[in-house]
Amino acid sequence: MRTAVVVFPGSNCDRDVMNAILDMELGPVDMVWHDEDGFPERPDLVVLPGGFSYGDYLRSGALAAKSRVMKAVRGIADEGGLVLGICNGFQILTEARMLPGALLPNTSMRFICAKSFVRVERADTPFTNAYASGQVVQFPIAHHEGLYFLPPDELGELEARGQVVYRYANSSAGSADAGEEYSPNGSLNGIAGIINASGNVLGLMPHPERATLKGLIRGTDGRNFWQSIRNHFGALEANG
Amino acid sequence: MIILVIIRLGRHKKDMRCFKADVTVLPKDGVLDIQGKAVEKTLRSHGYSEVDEVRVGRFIRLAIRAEDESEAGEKICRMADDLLSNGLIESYSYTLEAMR
Repeated sequence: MRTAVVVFPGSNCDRDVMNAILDMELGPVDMVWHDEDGFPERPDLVVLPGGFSYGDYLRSGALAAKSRVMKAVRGIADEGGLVLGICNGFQILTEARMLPGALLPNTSMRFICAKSFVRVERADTPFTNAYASGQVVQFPIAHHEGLYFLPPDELGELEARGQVVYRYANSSAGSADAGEEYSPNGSLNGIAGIINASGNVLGLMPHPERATLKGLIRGTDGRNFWQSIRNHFGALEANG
Repeated sequence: MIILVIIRLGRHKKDMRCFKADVTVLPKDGVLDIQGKAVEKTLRSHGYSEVDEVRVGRFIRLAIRAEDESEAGEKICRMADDLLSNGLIESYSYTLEAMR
């Protein structure tokens, strides 16, 4: 499989994502500047990385969502390829209307940079199949606008359709209150990550790429995130 | 030697006028406005007990060209819907003023 990581002015997790994918041996990674019309080679996976594209001017992700490359990103999604937005990438996907909802400032009004736990709500997606459903994993968070918002009716529909894939939990497995809902940023229903209705576009605020390299910082729960993507394409290949 | 002088007659251009557009973007009712709440609380705690509500939004001033005021308004609405505001969480209003 082949990955394209889009680099916006102000992206700062682009190389973290590249290093995670290379470490997991998921195949070649192309770093693609936001002003390009397309990709050097057709990617199977496009990643919109974290950071502060355009300095978060206007609204987080709003200007990046209008970037030239986004037309090609939409094309990959329409063809069934995988598109992943992490943190600022999630904000960009909502601003581009490739995912529903919006990310508002954290209720604490603070930038939160912390260890966080999320519960895997579904293990039948290309981004979660290496986890068990209900498993609690640790991915760091680092954001100021992470409160997932959707008007009540639409939120109910999103939940009913099972589009909530990652939900904040208050601690890791093994402790008494493991997996109980907890919203560090005020996110509605504790939502940390959602998938589109077709199941190939995922946005999440936590950073699996920061929990991937061994010995870098504590925690390698993110390895199975990338493993899930590998499994997805492996299965596609096996089915010819 | 023949010198060809080509006089380009300017195509009849529509008269474009300049407008100053002031766009105000505010969080919609029902959308949590953390900044507004914080400012509201601070004002009250500083003795401004008459304050019932505070909403904090964005103010954007544009200089644009358009044939007339109604076209200028249409253009501003398109820009506001497309980029200046996020219709899911924000509403906007604007005023126009002819310049020169």
